[in-house]
Amino acid sequence: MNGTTVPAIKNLYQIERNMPTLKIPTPLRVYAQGQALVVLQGATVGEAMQSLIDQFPTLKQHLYNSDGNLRPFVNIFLGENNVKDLQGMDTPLPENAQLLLIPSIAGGTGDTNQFKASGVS
Amino acid sequence: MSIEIPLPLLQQLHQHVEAAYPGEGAGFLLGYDTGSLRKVTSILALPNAREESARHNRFLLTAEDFLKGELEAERLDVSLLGVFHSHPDCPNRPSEFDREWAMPWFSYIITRVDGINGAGQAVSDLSWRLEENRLGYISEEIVVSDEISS
Repeated sequence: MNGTTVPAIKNLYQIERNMPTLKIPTPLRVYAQGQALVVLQGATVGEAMQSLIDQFPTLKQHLYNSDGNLRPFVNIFLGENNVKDLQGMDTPLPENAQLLLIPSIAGGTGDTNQFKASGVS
Repeated sequence: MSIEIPLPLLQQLHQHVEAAYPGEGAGFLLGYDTGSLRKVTSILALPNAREESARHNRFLLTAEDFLKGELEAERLDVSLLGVFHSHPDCPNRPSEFDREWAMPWFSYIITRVDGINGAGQAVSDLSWRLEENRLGYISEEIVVSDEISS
C-alpha cells in the first residue's frame, strides 16, 4: 500500500457518506444488480435520478414513459415526503439524503378491450 | 414459467376478492423466488384504495400499501413476488390499463369473479408477467399445492 491510498479511500468514503442514497423496490432490484440500496450523485432529485439511469440504463424504460416523464406509478420520497409535494424533480437534496422509490400499484378491467397477451391464443 | 401457491392461500385470496365484489379486490403475493421456482408463502390482502364509484373496474394499492408489503416481506424474511387482483364479471386477461401500470418481474394473478345469485364467486385464476419490453404479457402457469410450507 503506498502513501496516497489511505487518504484516497478516506476521501471516497467521505464522498459516499454525503451522497444521496435510493432504496430500490423489490421488482426493480433485478435491474440494479440485485441491490436494495444504491448510492447516487446529484444536488437535486432529478440529477439523482439521472445518476440512477446512468448506472443502470435498463431501469429507464420501467421508470419513464416514451415522453420522458416518470410513469404514473413511480413515487419518489425524500424521507417521509413525496417529492411531488415538494419541488418535484427540482427538489434540492440535503447531505446524506435518503430517497425511496415506492411504486403505487393500479389496474383493473378499465374497459372492455382486454390486452392481447403473447403466448395466449 | 410458473408460480406455486398453496390451496389454503388461494382460498384466502378468493375470499378477499369475493368479498370485494362487485368491486375489484387486490393485495400482494409474498414468498420466494429461486430463479427456477417461484412460490407464494403468504398473501397480504388490502383494501382497494380507489374511490367507491370506480372500484367496479379499477383498483389501487397506494405507495403506503406497497411499503407495508415490503415491510411485511422483510418481517417474514421473504420477498414481494407480485400482486393479485380481480376482474368482476370480466375475462381475467390483463387490460391495457393493467399494462400501463405494471411492474416488471412481478407475477400478476388475476381472478375472474362472477356474480352468482347476487354474490361474487371466484371462477378462474390466471397469472401473468410483463414482458421485458413492456409491450405485452407472458402467461405464467399457476401450480396449486396442498400445504403451506416455507
